[in-house]
Parts: sequence; structure tokens; C-alpha cells
Amino acid sequence: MLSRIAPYLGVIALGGFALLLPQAQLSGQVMSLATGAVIYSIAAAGLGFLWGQSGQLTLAHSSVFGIGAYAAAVGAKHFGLDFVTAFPWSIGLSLVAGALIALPSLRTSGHYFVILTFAVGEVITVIEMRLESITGGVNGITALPGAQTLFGLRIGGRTDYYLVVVGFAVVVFLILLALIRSRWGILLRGMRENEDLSRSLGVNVALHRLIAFALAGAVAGLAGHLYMYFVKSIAPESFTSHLSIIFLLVVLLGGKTFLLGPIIGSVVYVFVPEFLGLSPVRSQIAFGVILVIMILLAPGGLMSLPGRAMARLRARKKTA
Amino acid sequence: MLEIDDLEVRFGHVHALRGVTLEAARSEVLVLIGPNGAGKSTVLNSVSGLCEPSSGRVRIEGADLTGHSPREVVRAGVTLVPQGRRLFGSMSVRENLELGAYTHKGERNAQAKTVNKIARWAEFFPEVGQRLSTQSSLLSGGQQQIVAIIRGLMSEPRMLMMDEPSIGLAPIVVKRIGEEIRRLNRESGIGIVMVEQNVEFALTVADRVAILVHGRVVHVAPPAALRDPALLAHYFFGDASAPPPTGGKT
Repeated sequence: MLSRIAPYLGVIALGGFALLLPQAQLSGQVMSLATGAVIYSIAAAGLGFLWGQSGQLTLAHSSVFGIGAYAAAVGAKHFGLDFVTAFPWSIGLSLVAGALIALPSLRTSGHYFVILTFAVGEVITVIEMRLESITGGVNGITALPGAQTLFGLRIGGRTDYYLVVVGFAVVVFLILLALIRSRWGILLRGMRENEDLSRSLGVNVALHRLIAFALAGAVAGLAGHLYMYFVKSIAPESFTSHLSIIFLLVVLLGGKTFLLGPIIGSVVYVFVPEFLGLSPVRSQIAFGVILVIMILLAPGGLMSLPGRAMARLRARKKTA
Repeated sequence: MLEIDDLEVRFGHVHALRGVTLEAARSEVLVLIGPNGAGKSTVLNSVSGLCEPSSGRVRIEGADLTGHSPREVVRAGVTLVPQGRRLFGSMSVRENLELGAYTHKGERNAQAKTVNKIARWAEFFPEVGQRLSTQSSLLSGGQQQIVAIIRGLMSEPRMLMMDEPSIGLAPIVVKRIGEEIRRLNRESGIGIVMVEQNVEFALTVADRVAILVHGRVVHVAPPAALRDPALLAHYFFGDASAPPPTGGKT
């Protein structure tokens, strides 16, 4: 029984730890970085779920993240929606976008599909630039309101918003954990391992792939929504394929088959350049180097290192 | 009863099956043998919906399955155990078996039924039943083959089709797998249609043997009638279109 609920308790404990962070009287800048890291980790968790569990990779994840952000921004600017009432739109539109991006995967797969998602992402960016009356074109939408209340509770400032974001992250990670451990999770891993074999067992591969993409889209949309209410101004250039590569990097850094991998990955991605005082260009170079090292030495990501170390220790004990 | 009637399959310019007609009863083990490239696996893949026939009919208990998706074929009661065992290697035996019961997902008490089925087949094949939590890639070849068979049985088939279950296994394990296949057919009433390269194994396990050459069924007979090396050499190495050296349905 305990072994069944232990992973859930782990996520809750990690969330509890994150909620206690403001007690450490950290600076406003650190709290902002922490908020950004948690938002990135939610978005990357959607990609990690899709890639790590079902074996499908997309380079349009940033575009779906952007659709969530734009839904929230357009809702606030043109329809008077607030932080809560815009949620269904952000999540719903991203969910649909995620499923639509998966449609070509019914006819193509592997590298060709990944290239196709890259093209779809670029098309979405162009649409965001061209639909000037709705999206604000190249300049985007600025001077947006912040999150005011959540279920009657006032969201006062930076710290309050950080707590809200952490709360959403805990809920998202608990849902993803439940899905990974469900029969559907087994089915997705089966598809990842051998699609033809899954098909021969009667698995409707196309349907489940669509659902997985839609779910990843919904998670990215939620993160986009939180991002919009965090930065309060958005533009198409924020959601280009470069951001998809960052999500990919975050997932790889943490470990794509580990649920909590994106948290580790995004914390490293957001905080390391700050602590080392690296300029944006130098941090890009540093992450390029880190990525090469990771792929060569720890392809399973940082989360895989303790397991690898344990296995090595056991092997050494055996030979001793 | 599984009926395959005048089945034709083409892959571009390649005419893989040329009017294959076969029947398999639930009370028997029917084995398809023949030289490489004869179209044996294509017969199984066409029946299971993995490749689409260009003409002909496939029926199970009278219901037409021609051109249906693998999912519909499995639901109709015909399941394929693919070549080379092909388990989900990173998953446990139990997870592999749960995936086998996929087509019953959504039914009432599906989860409880799956648990019961795993328990039932674990009892039938105790060697694997004791290793349900083991990662499937860590099992021996013979055990993996049995897991692949049980996974096929999880969908409650009327006919189980196996593609070369003896491939890559030691002779003693092959013998054991053969015994299990016959026991399964006798005790559970599930019909077996099997493709085999190992002729000796095929003749030991089968109630009837069909020989395929160049996409055609050229001979169907009980195993005893095929223990003539000259007859087998004629079909495997000679001119299959010429009359066989001994009798038999051609």
C-alpha cells in the first residue's frame, strides 16, 4: 500500500518544500526566477509525458504553450476574462491544438513527423504575427492585468503568484503521475516500445496518440496561461521553435522518462546561468556543452544518475 | 471455424499470396510450413488485419473479417502471437499480460476480469505465473515465448495464430513449447493456426499441415502423410508446380 502511494507523497512533499521557499526571505528576483522555473517545469512536464511515455516528440510544444498564453491574453484584452474565467479557453484551445498537431502523425512518423511539427510551429508563429487585430501582430499584447483573485483569495504580489503557480504544478504532476501509473500509462509505454506489436494486440494506436498529444497540449496551455499572467505581456517571438528546444533541453536535462525530470531540468536551466552570472549568449553556449556531455555520459538525464551510481556500487560489491 | 477463401495479397509488384484457401477448426492445430518467402507469415498478417488483402475473404464463425482493423479482428476472437516473441521488454510480465487484455478495456469489471485471467493463465503455465513481476526481457527465451502466448490468450480468442513460436529456442525448449501448445488446444478449446520453419516441430505439434509455396497452398495433409523426405524435398527444394512424388491433396 505504502509503495503505491509513496510517489504521490513524494510529489506532495516536493510541492510542500516549494511552498515553504518564500519563508526563506528570498529576494524578489529569486522569487521571479523560481516562478519562471515552475512554469517551465509544468510546460516541460507535458512534453516529458508525451516523449518519455508515448515516445512522440514534437517541436511545436512552444506554439501550443503560446496558444494557452494568447488565449489568456486575448480573453483579458478583448473579452474581459480574468485569471480564472480564461482558464477553460487556455486549456481547451491548447488541447485542441495539441490534437491537431498530432493528426499528421497518423500518416507519418519518426524524424519526418518531428520536422513536420517544427513546420507547424513556425506556421502558428506566422499566424500570431498576421492576426494583428486579435493578437497585436509582431508587437503582441502588452500592459495586461495580473492575476487578481483565485477562488475568492486575493493574489497580492510576486510571492502570492509563486504560491499559486506551485499549487497548479502540484496538481498537474499528481495527475500526470496517476496517468503514468494507470493502465493507459502501460499502454502508452507499450506503444513507445513497439507500435506494430501494440497494434497487433488490438490497440488503437492512432486514437491513443491523439489523446496523449491533446493532454500534453492541455498541460502546455495551462503553463502558457500561468506564463501570461506572470509576464503580463506577450509577443509571437516568445513562442518560437527556440522555446521548444529549451523545453526539450529541460526534459533531457532532468530525464525524459522521469516525471520529476522537468523540475530538475528547469531549475538547472533557470538558476545556473543566474548564479554563474552568465550572459544570455554564454549561457546558450554553456547549455550546448552541458547537453553534449549529458547525451554522452548520462543520456537518461540527471534523475538517472543516482540509479546508475547504485547499480555501479552493486556491481563493484559483486566483483569485490 | 476460421475460413480463408481465395486470399490474394500484393505488395506493389510482388504477388505474395495467390488464392490461398484454408479452413481451421477450433478443435485442431493447423500448421503452415513452406520455404522462405512462401507467404506463410503474410497469411497470418492478412487475417489479423496487419496487411490488407487485395481480394478474397476471411471469416471467423461465419462473420466476415476481411480488411478489418487489427482491433476488430482481436475483438472478433482472432489473436496473433507475432514472430520472435516480441514482448515489451522493459515492462513486467504482468504489464505485458495487461496489454494483451486491451480490447476488453471499457467493459464492465474489466480490471477484475483481467486480474482473474492473469491468475487463471498463471496457474495453467506456473513457470511464468511465478514471475509476474519480473521484467520480461530478463526471462529465458522459452519463458518469453510462453508469456507471448499468454498475452495472446488474454484477449479470450477463439483462434490463436502463432508466427514461428520455435524460432531461436533450444531443442528441449521447442519440445516443451510444442507440448504446451497441444495442451492449450486440447484443454481450452482454442483453435491454433501456426506458421513454422522447423518442419520436425511442425509435424509433432500439428493435427493438419498445409504447405505453402510461392503464395499458394500446394498440399494439405495430416503430419503422418508428410513424413516422407522425398515429398518435403519436392516442395521445399524442387519444382513445386510439378506433381508430387507421392499422393496428397494438391
